[in-house]
Amino acid sequence: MIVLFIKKLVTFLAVFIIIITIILLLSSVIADKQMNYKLSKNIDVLVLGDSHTQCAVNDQILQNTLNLSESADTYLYSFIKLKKILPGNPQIKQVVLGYANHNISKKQDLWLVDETINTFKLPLHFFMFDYDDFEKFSVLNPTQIPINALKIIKINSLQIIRSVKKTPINKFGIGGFLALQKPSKNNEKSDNKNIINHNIEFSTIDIENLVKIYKLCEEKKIKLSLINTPSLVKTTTKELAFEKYLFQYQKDNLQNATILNHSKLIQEKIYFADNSHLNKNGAHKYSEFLKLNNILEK
Amino acid sequence: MLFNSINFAIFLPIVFILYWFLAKKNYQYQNILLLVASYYFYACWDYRFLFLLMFSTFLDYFTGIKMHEAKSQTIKKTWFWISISINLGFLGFFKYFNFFVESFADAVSNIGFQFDPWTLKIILPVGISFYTFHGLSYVIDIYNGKIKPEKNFVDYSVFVSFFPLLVAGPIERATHLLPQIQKERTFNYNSAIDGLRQILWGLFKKIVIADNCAGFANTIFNDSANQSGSNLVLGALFFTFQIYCDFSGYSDIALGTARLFGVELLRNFSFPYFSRDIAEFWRRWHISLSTWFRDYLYIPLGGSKGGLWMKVRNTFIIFIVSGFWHGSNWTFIAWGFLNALYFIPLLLTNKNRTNICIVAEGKHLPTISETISILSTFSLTVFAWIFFRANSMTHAFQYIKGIFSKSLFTIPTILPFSIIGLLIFFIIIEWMGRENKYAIEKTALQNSRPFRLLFYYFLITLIFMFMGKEQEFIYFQF
Repeated sequence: MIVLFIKKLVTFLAVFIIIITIILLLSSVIADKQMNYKLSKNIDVLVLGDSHTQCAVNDQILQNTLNLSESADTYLYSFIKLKKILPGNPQIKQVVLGYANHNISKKQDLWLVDETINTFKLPLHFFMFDYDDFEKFSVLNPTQIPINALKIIKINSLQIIRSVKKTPINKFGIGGFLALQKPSKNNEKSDNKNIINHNIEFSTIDIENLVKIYKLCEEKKIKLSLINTPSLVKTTTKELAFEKYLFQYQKDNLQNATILNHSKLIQEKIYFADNSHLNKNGAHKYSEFLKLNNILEK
Repeated sequence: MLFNSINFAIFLPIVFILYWFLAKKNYQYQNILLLVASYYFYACWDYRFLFLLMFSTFLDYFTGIKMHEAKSQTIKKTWFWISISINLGFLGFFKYFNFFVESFADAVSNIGFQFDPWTLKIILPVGISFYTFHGLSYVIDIYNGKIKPEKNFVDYSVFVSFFPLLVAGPIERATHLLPQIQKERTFNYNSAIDGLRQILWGLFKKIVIADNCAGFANTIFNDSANQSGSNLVLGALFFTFQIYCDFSGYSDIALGTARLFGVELLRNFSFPYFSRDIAEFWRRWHISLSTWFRDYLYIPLGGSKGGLWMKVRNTFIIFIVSGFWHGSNWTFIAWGFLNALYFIPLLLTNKNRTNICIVAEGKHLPTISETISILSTFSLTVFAWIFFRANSMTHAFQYIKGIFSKSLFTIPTILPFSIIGLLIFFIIIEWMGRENKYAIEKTALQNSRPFRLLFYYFLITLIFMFMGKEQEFIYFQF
């Protein structure tokens, strides 16, 4: 009886797994094929990164720019987006990528394996994964794809509907400028919380994706700008150590990339939603600065 | 290791296969395997507290034998009190020490003396309230001559530590569980299938309903000062479903898992939110704890046999102790006290056993008077849960004050329609299955096989759709 029980249970689960796998793969292929990665002809600058760049670069002010940064984006997700967008958009001349202390810290690697982050990031981006991305992600997170399979299917279905409706790419949940409200309550209370005290441990996993982005830009002869957006985070010994490494890493490994260090450009609290994120007015001021100084390609 | 974790999904099949294939020749081997698996399961939380569990197990095993062998009543009584004192001493130390010290400091500060109380910076050993009560019932039953002590230490240890019930019950009785451990268990196909079905329903309750309601309940309770009255009502409702689905979901998984190993555990919930009065609610909510208090506290205190004063006193004692069992906070005591207040009128008018049978048995819908009774009882329960969930008494009163404000009649700003839809689906399934041990026990069986399979796949789909980061079960903290 027990063998029969196990057989029936395995069959029951196998049928479910097979059906889900087929739907998962089919929906991912359809979502990818349906997705219009082709950008408007006038877009020649692509902004990628996490919430820092997402809230800082207002692409409605910078007409030639598309901001596809998204909160908690590691370089893995920036690389995946870039790989998909570049082939169909030869007009892109510059990629602006978030490059701050936290991006090169161990925290970034931990984001890659964080269950909560994966639960919302993976379903949104899975349809853009190629086999190589799938393999690497699975090695890092062996259980995350099976656990989130049904969420991926749900999101894929939504992405297909969005594609059919010709929704712009920055409304797919994979990135887009975010205007945060002016000074958040959090900011008013956080005078003493603007010192980040993470340990001095540098990224070893996600940093490889940064190199991949660099190589891809080199291959396509696209200018890569590494941008450190304005921040109120106080300069501590630890932050200095990170900053030193940040610039050294660029010199050693990303020689042809340019650094845009604007971390101290705006220091008035009214322009921030919290210590690391510009609010709507801050983004306006910063984007106007980028425009006036012709920092992003025209 | 949580029941709703990947680790448990790996652990359970391994133990199951070893149990029925490698250890099947002798039930003693199965018990050794269960004990090792249970200790491993417990050690996954904190291996240091495993020694406390082992010590508590050995203490009750040893004193049980000593009481039985005692030549005089005095010696028997001495061993009995040694066991009771040490068991309650551990529970008091880990769970209530800080509460008493802080309450004392508050009390003396009210009369003008100020001092910084010295509190313990320790975590509560998971499941201590549950396994202590297991041990206590065993020792009390031996003392009262109801059972003989178990001589086999492994068998006794499995009774205390059997992993499905180790951290959050049901609180088992030696008279019920030990005989099952002491004999050979054979694999029962139908029972195992039934166990899987109950696990599935438990996971649905926990992951789909409880964890999703928790998000909204936490948002509202944690920011109650800035919420409208209507939002606060919703928050209390979300918590009402959260706590039920969290705890009864855990119990379903525990009962289902035990059934996979050929063991039947005590039923812990019986559709309490369909109760027509508070007395019925308490016969259907956390049954293993309620009956424990009835048998080992209420009846020894005289139960309802004495006069009116005795009845009222005992009722208050049992409810307040039950509240205090849940945690060292005045809010739990208030919750217990409030339930006693609800219960007393029924007791005084001898109506506490009016609603014994299942509501609307054999019918599709309840009568109008039954509906009114169910809704009134449910409302009283929701109100009491506010005290249970609040961080402090001040918070609870502020919350209630916030409800009874003008904003009670505004449209709630937090209206998660998907969760409300799921709640409606859940209530319908629970109502349809209220005559069974758990909601989907027969509901699915009454339909054709393809429908049944589709229904199970649908539940699994919902579980995976709503699965997020593993959330602990509320009752682990008790």
